[in-house]
Amino acid sequence: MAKGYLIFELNCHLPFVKSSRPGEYPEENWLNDAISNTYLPLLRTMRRLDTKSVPFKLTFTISPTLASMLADTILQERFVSYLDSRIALGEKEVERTASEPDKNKLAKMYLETLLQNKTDFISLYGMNILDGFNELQKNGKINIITTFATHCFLPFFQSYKGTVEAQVYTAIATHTTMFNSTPKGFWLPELGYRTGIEDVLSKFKIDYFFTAIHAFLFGSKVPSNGIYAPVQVGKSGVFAFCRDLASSMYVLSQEEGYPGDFAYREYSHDISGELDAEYLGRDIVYPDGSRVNSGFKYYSNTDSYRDAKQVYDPGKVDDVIKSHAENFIYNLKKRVKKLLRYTDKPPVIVCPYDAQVFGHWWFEGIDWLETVLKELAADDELVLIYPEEYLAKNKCEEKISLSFSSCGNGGYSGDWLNGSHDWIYRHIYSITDKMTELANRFPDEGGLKRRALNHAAREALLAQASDWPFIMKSGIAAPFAAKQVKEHVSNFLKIYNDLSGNSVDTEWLTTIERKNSLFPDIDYHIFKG
Amino acid sequence: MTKNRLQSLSLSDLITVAQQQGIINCEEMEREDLIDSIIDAFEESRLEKQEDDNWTIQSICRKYDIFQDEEISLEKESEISDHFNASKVEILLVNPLMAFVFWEYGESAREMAQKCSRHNNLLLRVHEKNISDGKEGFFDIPVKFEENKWYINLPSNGCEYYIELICHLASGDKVLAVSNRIESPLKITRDIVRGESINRSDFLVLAGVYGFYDDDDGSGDNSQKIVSFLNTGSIREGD
Repeated sequence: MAKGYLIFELNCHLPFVKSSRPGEYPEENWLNDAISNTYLPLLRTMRRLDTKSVPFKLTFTISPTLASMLADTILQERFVSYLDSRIALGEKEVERTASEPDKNKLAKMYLETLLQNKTDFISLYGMNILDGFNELQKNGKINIITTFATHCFLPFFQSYKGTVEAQVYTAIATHTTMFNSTPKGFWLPELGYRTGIEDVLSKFKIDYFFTAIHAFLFGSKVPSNGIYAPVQVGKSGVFAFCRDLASSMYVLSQEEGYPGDFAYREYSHDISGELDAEYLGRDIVYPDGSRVNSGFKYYSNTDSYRDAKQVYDPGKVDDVIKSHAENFIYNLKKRVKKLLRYTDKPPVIVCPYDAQVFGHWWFEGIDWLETVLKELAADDELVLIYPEEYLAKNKCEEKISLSFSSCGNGGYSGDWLNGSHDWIYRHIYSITDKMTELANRFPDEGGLKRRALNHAAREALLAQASDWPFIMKSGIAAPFAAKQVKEHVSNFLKIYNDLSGNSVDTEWLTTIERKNSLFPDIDYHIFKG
Repeated sequence: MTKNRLQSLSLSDLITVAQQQGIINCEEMEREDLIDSIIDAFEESRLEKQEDDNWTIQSICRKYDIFQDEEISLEKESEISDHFNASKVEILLVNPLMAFVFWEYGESAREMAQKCSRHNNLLLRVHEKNISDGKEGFFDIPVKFEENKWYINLPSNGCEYYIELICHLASGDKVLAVSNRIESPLKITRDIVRGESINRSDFLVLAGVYGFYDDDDGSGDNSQKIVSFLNTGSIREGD
């Protein structure tokens, strides 16, 4: 009999990035790398487990922006080009490393994976990997939930209830179209919580969402089961689950978690930092000389000094993966055993992870997850569960008001608001106000004006993404992120000014609709105040 | 940042990048020294940014970190041409101790604000209301007309704050704009605020900050500083 439960929540999200011309934005590789390194290998693993009748239950958040990109035919074709260029590079790598057997073995392994990815992507999924997720959901192996349409950071939109509703409405509409189901759960981007969202979610028939620990501990009272059982949020009837911090450390920490083990492959060292531009090709080295990772990485986490690096040996990791999977389950079971002395119902441990931790950064992460799922399948003490199942099995009547919180540093908002990018908010709020003004000023427009208004709504939502301030703060692709915000704001303002002059620039509108082509059924009335 | 990338840039572009990175006297450096200094500056900046990141933030950063080189922006940044029709002030919570405030003037308020600013009479009035006992107060921050944002300290937790943008005139205060309201969260459990004592070890277990390692009592550092309030006298040691 289950003594405790485990919710694995894998968060799949990227901001919407689509250039007008192929090869224009190196940042399109965020999506390509995610599909190649995480989503396709993860789908293979889940299908394999399903075929072998290994029971598992994983909750996936697939954000509306990511789902829209995965379903976009232009981006699908660009992903095939990405695979082709990586396969060509792989063939060259097999040749180049012929005199170094250890590296040669790795080059062949990467090439084989790329070829398998291409076969799966084209033949198995017909270029749309959402079909793979849909099939697993149909089989009851995964449960897909949604998040705000463009992943906005909720605490900054507290005074913009109409916009929050527009974000939720668009998210659910997109989810329903893409996954043929209405989501029961909701992922608050960056776990950003502010009082009041529960009422909005209740209106849209969402049953539960997830929060960071601050929300539970600094709320109206410390819940009687601590963070290990969901609570009803105020009087909304919506439940909140709280994430477990310790299990984040095991998986997310390079220094103290499993991924930093010396046997595992190192993420940062890539041949694109070493070899000639001509050899690597224009898909790796961009016209301005900047380089993206190629995926060909030959070293393990041996040492931070390059000279001491050891060539990665995949033959040595199986035992390590197994021991890390066992350790994870051991620690969680130990936690459950201790918790049972305090809780009035079987504790539920919530483990949310960004899906790209697995495969993309922690190369062996997907194998680790597979091993954990296999071990859990044979375990009756710690049982995988979906959030809605836990709610159905356990009476969770405790009503609590939660506190402002996020998964950011310190648990608050600093990662999405600091001096490097605070200028964006005055523009984002300005166009949000103007969008509401447009929706009220044009209550019943048709034809070209309606198209323009719908696209204005799209641009207003896109500008609100939490990813851009986060990226600006991280410094990774800060100029690009700034450019994206400026582009969305400027696109919006062009439509606003055109409509104010009673005109629409049809040619420009068509071009920009093709570029920012998500949410095809958006209706600008969602912004009506 | 790779040497290859920097070597592909002209000397004037290298100087621009060096200036963006805050390298002093870069115009006088030899090309190779300049490249080395830029690489060091990027690395230092990267490490500084990562230093305080918790595990979750690090994991999100990693999915975007697919580049060998940091993006270099050599073009003059374009400005957004927006018109703010009405006066507006907005307050956003950064953390329990700090908020970000920005404001705009509508056409009609601009002239008055400019005049007030000359006499140091343009103010942000920060209103504070204690949520538990309802006590209210305010304090003023003089601002200049040329300014349009401030990071302000929030003196108390568990209070509601809002801002008025004010011209302080001899005839009385003229309110140009009133902000939204925010609440500064408590950094302590409300049970303690109410005077209820909490068993320390029970609390650690139920908060999930116990058990990172075998024999861990949970009082060590962790990424979200959840246990900072454990030093309060209201938490009694468990058995």
